[in-house]
Amino acid sequence: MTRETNQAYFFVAPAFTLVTLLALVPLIAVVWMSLRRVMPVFGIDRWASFANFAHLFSDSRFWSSLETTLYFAVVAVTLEIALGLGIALLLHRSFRGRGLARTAVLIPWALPTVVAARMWEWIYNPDFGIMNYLLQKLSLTSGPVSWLGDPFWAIHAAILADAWKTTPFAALILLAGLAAIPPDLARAARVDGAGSFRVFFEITLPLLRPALVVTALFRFLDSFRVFDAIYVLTGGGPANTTETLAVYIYKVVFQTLRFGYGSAIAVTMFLLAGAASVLIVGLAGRGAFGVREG
Amino acid sequence: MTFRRLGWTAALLAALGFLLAPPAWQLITSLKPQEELGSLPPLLPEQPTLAQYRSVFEGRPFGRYVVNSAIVATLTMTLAIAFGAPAAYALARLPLRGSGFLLFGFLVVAMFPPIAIVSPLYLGIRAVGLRDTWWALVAADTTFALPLTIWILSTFFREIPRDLIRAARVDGATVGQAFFFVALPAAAPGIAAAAILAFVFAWNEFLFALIFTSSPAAQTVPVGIALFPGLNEMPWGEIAAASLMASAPVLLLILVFQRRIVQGLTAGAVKE
Amino acid sequence: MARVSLAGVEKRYRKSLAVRRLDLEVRDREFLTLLGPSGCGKSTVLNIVAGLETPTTGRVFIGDRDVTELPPQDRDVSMVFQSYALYPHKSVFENIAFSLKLRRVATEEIDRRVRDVAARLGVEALLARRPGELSGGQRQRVALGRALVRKPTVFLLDEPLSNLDAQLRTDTRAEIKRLHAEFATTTLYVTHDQVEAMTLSDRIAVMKDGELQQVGTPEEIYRAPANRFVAGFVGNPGMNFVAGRVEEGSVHLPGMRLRLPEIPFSGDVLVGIRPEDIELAVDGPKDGAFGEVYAVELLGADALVVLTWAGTRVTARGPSSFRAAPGERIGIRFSRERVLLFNPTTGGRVS
Repeated sequence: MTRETNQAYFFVAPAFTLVTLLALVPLIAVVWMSLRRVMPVFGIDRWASFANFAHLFSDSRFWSSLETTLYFAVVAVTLEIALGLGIALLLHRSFRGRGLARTAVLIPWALPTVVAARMWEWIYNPDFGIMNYLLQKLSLTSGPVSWLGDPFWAIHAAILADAWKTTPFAALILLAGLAAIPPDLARAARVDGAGSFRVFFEITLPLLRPALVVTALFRFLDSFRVFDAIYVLTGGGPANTTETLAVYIYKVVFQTLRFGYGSAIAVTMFLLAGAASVLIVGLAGRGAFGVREG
Repeated sequence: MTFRRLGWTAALLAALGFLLAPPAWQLITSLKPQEELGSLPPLLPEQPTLAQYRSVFEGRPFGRYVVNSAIVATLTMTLAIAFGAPAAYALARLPLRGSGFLLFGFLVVAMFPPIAIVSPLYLGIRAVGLRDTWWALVAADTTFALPLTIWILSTFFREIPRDLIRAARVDGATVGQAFFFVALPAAAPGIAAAAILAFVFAWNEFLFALIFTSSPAAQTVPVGIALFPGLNEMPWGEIAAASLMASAPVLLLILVFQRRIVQGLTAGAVKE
Repeated sequence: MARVSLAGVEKRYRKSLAVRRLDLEVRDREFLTLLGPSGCGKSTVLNIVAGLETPTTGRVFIGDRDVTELPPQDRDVSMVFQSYALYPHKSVFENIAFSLKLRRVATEEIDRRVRDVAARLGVEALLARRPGELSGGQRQRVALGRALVRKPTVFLLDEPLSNLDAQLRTDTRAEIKRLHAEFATTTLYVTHDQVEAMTLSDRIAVMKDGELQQVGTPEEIYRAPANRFVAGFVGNPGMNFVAGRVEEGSVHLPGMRLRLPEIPFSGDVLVGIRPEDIELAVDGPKDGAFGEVYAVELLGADALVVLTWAGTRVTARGPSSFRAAPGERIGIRFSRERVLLFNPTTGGRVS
């Protein structure tokens, strides 16, 4: 048996080595750098202990970007789960052309983030964008709105664009969850006397809990770390109203070239993400992973 | 009964509309000549043209971007499977001590904000002299495609009946031979799904491409699109055209392999 | 009156016809079994009665009400599923109580009725548990309880015993029979197991490929099957079929001739005879029919003797003391009253 165990290590070796080299080592390097003052351009690299983290506390821009990030994540995830659940329910029924519908649903997911961001930028364009055109046509707005230039609207425009792109993923995970529910349960409930609403709320939703938790978790983690879409859409503006933690880190590291401080922010971000995950799983996950069929 | 059917159909059409309208608008935009871009109402182009597509290539090496993307994505896909399949198999079927630890490790990697480790990665790649090369991107993309790849593949490997492997061993195959000649073919659908997903991931990847490359030698399509703004205003028509060309391969993939992708993302739970 | 009538019911799917034109009536308080092999359409018929599927043509009546358009919740039927379909996230109590809760029954009454049914089925100790913690037999009884607590007009059961092991199956079978005697609800039962059908039913409806073959009491099905399929399906071990000829008012078989009155037929026939109706003569008249022993299976209570005769293999029941070596020749005899004749091409019974 031990010989097989040794052979097993060979199987894992290539993947393990690559991930260690390119993910684990940099990760450790980041933690390392967070404790130092590093500015390669100036050749600075010296020990700073927790100075970076202390600075973090008093950095108002950090706190506002954290607030922005949390707002973004919570709103986006809620939107994605609501839309995703709706789409999953629609795709769960069998109908002609379901394969085509699924392909269509995958399209937003398949587009490169940059492409999707530019696409929405064009839609949001204050002068030539179709969003303003349609809203004015429908008399919902009186004048052109600068979606990406307005301090209030920018973050919401970004949320819509991001949710649009990632809802398919949520829909698919939830669809898998729906498919795992034995169809006899809904039938038994209907024979017992439940109408469609009761079946959904008393049977489907409770049994969908594990899938919902998984979706919420993954989507939250992704939204918390969002970078691509924001960078292309708004670059963090206007007036830093859409500056999420990831964008802030980018600016700190690649614009002000403070690798050490940037790493400290990253480590904090990672810890916060971890804490949030524990919270999510703890709050909603109790019993979600222990339900077996009867 | 028919009212309900109508309701469902309406909801379905609304959802599809929401998801498909933006790219459809982009397609329409890409077919408009320059003069028509600045004005709405006419929603549809009065003189549809392919001029925008042509001008995408003018003054910028867009073709080169496409080639770079294709190479990076293909190599990433290959490596992700080559490294991921044995690892997934070991995790699923072989006696491996510390497998939980490994899985946790992969999960941690997946959770760390890429933006954060970009900096040491950048420094490392620069030090090794791989800056602005395909290999830098392939290495990074493969690394971050591996968690998902391994997760998908291990689920598929777990579905293979143990007896199948045992029969092969009894017939005289070594562990490696059983893996290569029995397990791999049996998990073919999962491998296809994981490969496609890895390709899509690498093709669409932006952050590493942005930071590790600096010239058309290795810049990929997403970077090309992000770099579009010229000196003056944004060439929206060209951007639309470029966007569609950038997405074409991936869109083609999902059209052909929709079933596989859904299988992969849902670990086989969703049937046709 | 709680009878169930299916009039001209047909169910067609996109590519196939699951149920051919079906006219069937389940009488008030009757226990009727739909019997047939997998895929014969019996579960589809049950689903149509429950309202889980709508027939392509035809009407369904419960009592005097036309329920064809009604959804399951308005039909006052209850159902036991093959997979039990217990709600995994609810306790046993909540599972049984669910239908009463939906009907806004008072809480104290729900409590009383659930405990009552649970006691009758012997699961009152399990009320706080979840289905995942129960054994197969316990889950089955909870499923029965859920269906019984409502005192429905019609009671539907879809192969409830097929997931149980042999011993449990026999015990639960007896319990279902007792429950039917006690509750006297009109019951429609679906199974592929002919033992269940024979022991539990007032009447049996045999189906094959979506078509009703015969409806009758177990006795009728057994002794007077309408065709070769029904004859072969019921009875264990199954009926023997031998090719023969009818000429001049007698049936001719290798080694024997049976004079049968009024055969409106001549030509080739398929002769059916059940194993228990064959007499074996180890030493007897050396003329007549002889079979060559192929195998002898000792069952304890009796023995199954497989013989080669008339170009085919024939099984007969013999006494438990029967001993013979393969290849031995044994005399075969059977009484002509027990013989059934079938048309070899259509399968229909001729006499």
